[in-house]
Amino acid sequence: MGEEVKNKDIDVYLEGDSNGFILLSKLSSLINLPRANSLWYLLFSPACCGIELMQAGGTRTDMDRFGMVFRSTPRQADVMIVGGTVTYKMAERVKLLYQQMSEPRYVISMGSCANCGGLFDRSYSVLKGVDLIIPVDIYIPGCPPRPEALLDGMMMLQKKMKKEDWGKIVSKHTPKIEDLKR
Amino acid sequence: MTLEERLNKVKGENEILLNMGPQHPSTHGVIRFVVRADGEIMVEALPVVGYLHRGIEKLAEITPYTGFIPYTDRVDYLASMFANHAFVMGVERLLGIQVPRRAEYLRVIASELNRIASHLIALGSMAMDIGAFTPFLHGIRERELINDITEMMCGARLTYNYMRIGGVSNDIDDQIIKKINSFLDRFYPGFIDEFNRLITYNEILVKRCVNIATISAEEAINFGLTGPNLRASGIKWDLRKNMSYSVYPELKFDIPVGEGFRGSIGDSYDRFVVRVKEMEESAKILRQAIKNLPSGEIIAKVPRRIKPPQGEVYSAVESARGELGYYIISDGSENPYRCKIRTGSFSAMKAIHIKSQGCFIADLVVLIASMDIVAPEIDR
Amino acid sequence: MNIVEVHTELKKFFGEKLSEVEKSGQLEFFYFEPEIIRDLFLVLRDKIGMEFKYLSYIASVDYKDRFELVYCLYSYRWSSIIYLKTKLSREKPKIRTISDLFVAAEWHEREAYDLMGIEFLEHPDLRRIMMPDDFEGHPLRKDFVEKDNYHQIPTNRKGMTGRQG
Repeated sequence: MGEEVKNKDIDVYLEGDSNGFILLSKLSSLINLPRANSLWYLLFSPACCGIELMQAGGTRTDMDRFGMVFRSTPRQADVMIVGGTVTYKMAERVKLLYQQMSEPRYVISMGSCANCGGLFDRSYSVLKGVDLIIPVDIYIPGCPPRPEALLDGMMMLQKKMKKEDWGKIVSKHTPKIEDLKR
Repeated sequence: MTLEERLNKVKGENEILLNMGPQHPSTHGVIRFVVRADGEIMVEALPVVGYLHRGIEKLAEITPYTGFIPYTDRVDYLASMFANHAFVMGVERLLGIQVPRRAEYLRVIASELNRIASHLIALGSMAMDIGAFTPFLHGIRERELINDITEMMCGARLTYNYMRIGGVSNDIDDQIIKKINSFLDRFYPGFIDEFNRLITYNEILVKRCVNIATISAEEAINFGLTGPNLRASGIKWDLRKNMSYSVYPELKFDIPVGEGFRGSIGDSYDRFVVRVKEMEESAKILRQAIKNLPSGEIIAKVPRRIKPPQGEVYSAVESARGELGYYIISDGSENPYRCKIRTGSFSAMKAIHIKSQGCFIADLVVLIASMDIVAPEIDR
Repeated sequence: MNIVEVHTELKKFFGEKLSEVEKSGQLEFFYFEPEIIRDLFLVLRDKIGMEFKYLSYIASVDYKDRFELVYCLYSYRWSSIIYLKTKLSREKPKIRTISDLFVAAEWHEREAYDLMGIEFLEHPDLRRIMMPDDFEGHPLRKDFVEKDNYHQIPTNRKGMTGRQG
């Protein structure tokens, strides 16, 4: 009677018939599913890739259909897309923006400049890769990457999110009893 | 003197300091304003730039001439054809190369397509800053069509790297011409009429823009404004006509100037309308250029290693944001000795600083957007 | 009104303080002594018949033994463009500002101060414009050497695991 529904993204065990059914799954998977499908990104684009980011939010590539909408404030954003060259002057600001985002937070490094300095590798004012200051989850190559490439990166991030253990994330960011006593 | 000292020196008693940027949706890139306000009225909006200073001028000194063309794309990512054009034109003048006529026409076609694309973003984002999101999507939609064409022409959507010293990289065929024609049929008058009805004549937009930050002709010249910002103040000056380059003398087009369409001459609304009218002119130029497109070579014979003789040159083109010029000093080697880039947005930022004095805080975004500034052009 | 006409006209005012018109590549220009800069630009801007009211840019050039400033002016009235140059000493480059005559000059002067280290006397707001306030050195100088790190951020990729600079 019972059948296991094979789903790549979440582990679900489904049993029952038309009168009713039981669905068994990990809580983590169930929480991750809506989390990954409402990925709000921070509208933050230091340089050229920002235009492709805007195009990706536009009518043709329409990231909205995957639940990805832009937020202007870091407090409401889940993912920060560093689209473009980060200079030393900007580096501290990027760090600040990252710290303002609420946990769990993700970073996508978009374009060669953010990945490693790219074309401006030899410049005296350009940070050679945004991973020197903040942790990065997904790297997207290209100068600039096409909107499709950005979308691919976002979907890779979704896959990553769906595999995460929600319990670990919660326990990592919950204050311990010893801390509260102090 | 640091920024803090500068602010402390002039801060009045009842003033508050308000930080805008560098991460702000309506500052068009990473530009920061420190607003000193007395209540709702700004005493000044002090621009703090340099968050995107990538040292392109220094990189020019360690890069060969041909290798520097991709860097020029990044000088102005919204309108990189012009940055390409100005640089290669400078090197051609140093070398004394005559560019084939077909290549010149292709450059004009590419540039004018790029001008339309750039103005679409400028107008769309100005409307978005004022509070309407739909115009921006309209702009993006049309821009995608232009991106398709440029992708067929040179393989890139944003940073084209289309022009070479002595010509252009790729020829166009009938398929691309058909595509450009179908785009033009849709764009002018169709799309522009729709855009005007929907946005330009929209009473909310008009009310937000009219008589905001009016710049008189005298001021505009003294501020060093160029391009649409200068023309909106009523001055008929266009490098395409007044200091003609490429094949622009063979093409017929008008220079739209600000006439005080709804308010006074040189206000934010004039700057908006001048850009809309410039798109119409660009469409006219494109139709003529495609009709007159000669056949022949697309690139002149140039030596493999480009070593211009000692000398200096300044070459400027009329970009979507005004005069974009390269001052190149050659010392006879493979790399430029010095390359200074003069851009339109750099001067516009100083104008924003002065014109913001006495405005409402809410009008600052209108002022910024109407100047059509873009961060890498300021910082380079 | 081309550069030769402007030059002969200006010679009447400034005499020996101006050099002869030179040509280098595609550019025709003449040198002027730094101390007459304000009078010179006032004449260029306001004299009837010249009206070079628009300052396009100020470029600073490092020639290893001296600095040079290049001023580019347009006259919309006559559709003409002229270039003026001045030489400054390498050790203490100083010149008076023209930002009160041309508002456009203010930021170009700040840029030259920041990237080339040229001091503009009586400038209203002489601060670094492109680089952070605590940055050391002037990057566009030919003898500029990059520091190993900036605020504990390494400035090159060499020696980092997995990547080569």
